[in-house]
Amino acid sequence: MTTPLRIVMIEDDDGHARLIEKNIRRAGVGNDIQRFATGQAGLDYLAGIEATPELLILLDLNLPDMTGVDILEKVKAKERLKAVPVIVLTTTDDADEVNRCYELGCSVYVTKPVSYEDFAQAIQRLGLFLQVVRGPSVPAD
Amino acid sequence: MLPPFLKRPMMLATFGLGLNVLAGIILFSLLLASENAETRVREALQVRVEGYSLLADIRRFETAVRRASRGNGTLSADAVQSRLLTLENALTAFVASTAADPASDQLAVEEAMANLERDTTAILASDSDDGRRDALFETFSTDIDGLVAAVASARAEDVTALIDGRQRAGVIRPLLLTAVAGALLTGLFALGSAGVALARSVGLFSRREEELRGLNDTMEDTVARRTQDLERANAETQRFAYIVSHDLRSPLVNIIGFTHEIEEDLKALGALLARIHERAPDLIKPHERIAITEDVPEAIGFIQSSAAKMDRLIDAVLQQSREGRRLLKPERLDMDDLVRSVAASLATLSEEREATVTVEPLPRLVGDRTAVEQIFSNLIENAIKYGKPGRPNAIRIAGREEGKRVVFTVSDTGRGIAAKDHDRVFELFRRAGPQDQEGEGLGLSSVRHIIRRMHGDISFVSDVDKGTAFTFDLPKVLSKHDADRDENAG
Repeated sequence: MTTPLRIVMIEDDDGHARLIEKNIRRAGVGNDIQRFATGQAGLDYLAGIEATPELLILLDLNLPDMTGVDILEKVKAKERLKAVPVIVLTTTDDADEVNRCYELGCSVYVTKPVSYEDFAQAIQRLGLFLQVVRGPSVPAD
Repeated sequence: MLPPFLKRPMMLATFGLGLNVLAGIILFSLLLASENAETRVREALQVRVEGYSLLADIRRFETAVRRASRGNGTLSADAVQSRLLTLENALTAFVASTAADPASDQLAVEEAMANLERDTTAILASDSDDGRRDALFETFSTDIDGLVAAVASARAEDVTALIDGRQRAGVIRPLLLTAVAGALLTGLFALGSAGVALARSVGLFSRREEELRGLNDTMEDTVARRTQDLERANAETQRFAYIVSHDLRSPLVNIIGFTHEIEEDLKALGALLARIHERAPDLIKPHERIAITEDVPEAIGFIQSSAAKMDRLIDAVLQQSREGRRLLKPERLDMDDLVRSVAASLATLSEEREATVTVEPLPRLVGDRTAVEQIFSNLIENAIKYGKPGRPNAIRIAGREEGKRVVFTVSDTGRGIAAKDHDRVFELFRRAGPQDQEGEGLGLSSVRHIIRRMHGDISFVSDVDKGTAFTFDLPKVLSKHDADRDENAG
């Protein structure tokens, strides 16, 4: 039996975190979301997990203590975590950064556009994506 | 106070030389005058000499005839003839050189000589005991005296001339000496000051040359350093713009996101209001209803539109920063093609606005395609947008080579830019005239940014209702050096 997918969100801005969460829920995805406000906290958590959980990482690139790219690198370097899908969310749409992220192996790069509809849609598509990738998720109520 | 020309050595030298030349001229003319006087004196002296010689000849002839008549010697007829001829010639020459009226005097000479010949012959033919001898001698003496007198009177004239000549010579000599002395002094002075001036200027020049070379080197260093500083500053600004726009974007996401959330939540409140209105309408106070149905939605509206605007502005700044950081890639550009396709891409807009775009033959250049396209796209779009309603807008693009640069013009017959707005239009987010066009006021600011990045500049001529003509220049060949340099700066 597959363990329910846990979503690890590394995002420093409370508002963004809340918006992301709301939209994930609106998309019908009820899985557990673990939120970390600093890159280090997120890494520590990921390092501390013993078993290989079913994980999905939502990563913001504009973190205060390190760049999201660093975290991406470190995650992909760890044997255990290499297979974990990483979805990068950020306000930047800088081509260089996008390329770098894809090079490092992120699965999807979603820009947080200010146009809210687009943003919400992107998150909701994420939900669908999760469903497709991971099989039945815990439905939200 | 010295007059200015005396203060400057070169001018002084020139003045001195001028004086010298003047002195020379005066000297020369004086010389000529004195020479004339000299000549006259010499001539007078010559006449005196000739006169004395002639008198001597006449006297000798007289003595010879008297002797012969007394039997002291013989004078053959031939000898007499030849002597008379010699005398006549000498007389003629003397008369010619001294007489005021040589012609009449010549006649007188001939007559006198004829008389003398007759009388001489008569005396020589007569015997010593001839009673007529005394009378003959008398006549002979008269003839001789006459000749002597003629020569003497000429001599008198020449004495006067001599005296006059002497006088003039007397005046001329000291004058001459003064002139010579003066000229010499002036000459020396002029030469001296010219020499000093020249030496000074040569001396200074060699010092100055060193100074100049030193300055030049320092200047090159300074320029290099300043350019480096500028590039670093530019790079910092780019980075700054990038960071700032990102950090500004973040809160914006929240503002926009949560106003949407409020909208959603408002729907729930609206539903609640409707239910209360159904069941217990008097529970609702009017201002409470208005708050939910009007005020909150209005507030949300303003917040959302402001946030959207802020987003567009941040976008613009990010764009410029991105453009500024982008590496320039020089490549051969067929400008005719490039500009025509830019114009073609704006075809719909230009049709809409009744604008015609004419592209004259343009010189080729080597540059960054994206940058150049952006410049023309911005300028042409502006030209189309800011036409004058009711008047066809003729947009013309031309270009010409000027040495190492290529100068382009984009002109239109649109509404023009008022003089007071000429500085504004280049500012970020600023526009001019009636604000009836879409756009954030970015175009010209970014266009100028790009052009300056390629070491060119842009300017325009315009006035209200008179259309606008933009002129800008780009390097004919964008060097790889420029492109590399930007890489270091970025």
